[in-house]
Amino acid sequence: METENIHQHIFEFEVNEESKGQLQGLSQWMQISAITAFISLALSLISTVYTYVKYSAFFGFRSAFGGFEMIKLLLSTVISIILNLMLIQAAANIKKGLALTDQGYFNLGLSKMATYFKIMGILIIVVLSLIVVAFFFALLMRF
Amino acid sequence: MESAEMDHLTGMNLEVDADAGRHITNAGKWTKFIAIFMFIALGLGMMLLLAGSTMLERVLGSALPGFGRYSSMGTGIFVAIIVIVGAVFFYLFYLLYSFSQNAPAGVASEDKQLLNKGFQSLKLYFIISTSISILALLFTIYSLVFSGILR
Repeated sequence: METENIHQHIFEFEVNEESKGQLQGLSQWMQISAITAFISLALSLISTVYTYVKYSAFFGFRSAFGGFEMIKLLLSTVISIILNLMLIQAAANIKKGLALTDQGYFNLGLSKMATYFKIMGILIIVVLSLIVVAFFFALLMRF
Repeated sequence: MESAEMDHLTGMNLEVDADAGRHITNAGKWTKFIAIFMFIALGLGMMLLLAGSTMLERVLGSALPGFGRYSSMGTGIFVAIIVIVGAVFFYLFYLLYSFSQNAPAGVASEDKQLLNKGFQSLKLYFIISTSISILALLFTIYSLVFSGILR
């Protein structure tokens, strides 16, 4: 029983005013960061579609904007949307948790923030693996 | 009675409970991985760029007869830009590393100062990375307007 109480006491301390201030600032900047990323994404999509329309008239769809390019664009768009949605949700939930003093929202926000970094970490691992595979393929092609 | 009152007051405030602690620790693990990876990538990238600048100087020096007089100045500016940009990005990922070290440690030891230091680092990380993103965004808008896409 006593052990249980001690265990419960670990990881249970109040969020003080200074922490609240830091978390409020953090959630605000997380939101601004996600909004900026969404605007950048929209602009890069506009630019890509414009380039596609402009060059496909000269070279045709396949040569100007091949299937691989299309997959790359779709994949990066989907990943960017998922990542930044996660960041916006994290910011919104942390903000709501702080404003309403609601532990549920607060924990959900922190969970979304952890998931955001987890996705980023997994993406790095995937990219690193692809680079290693490409490197070995390049070596194999030489011999 | 006093204890019951205290419990009630504690219930009115936000806490870093077991769940919140787990999420902060998880975020700490991933941010540590990201920061260390970025330190290595940044180091390698800077080394490649600096090696590239010396090679570029040599190539331009042999191709353009008058280049030798200005090459050291041009290379110096290029190296200075690489070092400044590298330092900004190093500080950015240092902030992420600082969060990964301080926030989980603050949770484990119930040290509010450490936890606050961690959150402050993460906030600064988002402030700097967002500022860089906004600069890049402005540059993109400028180039889109200039190329006639956004006109």
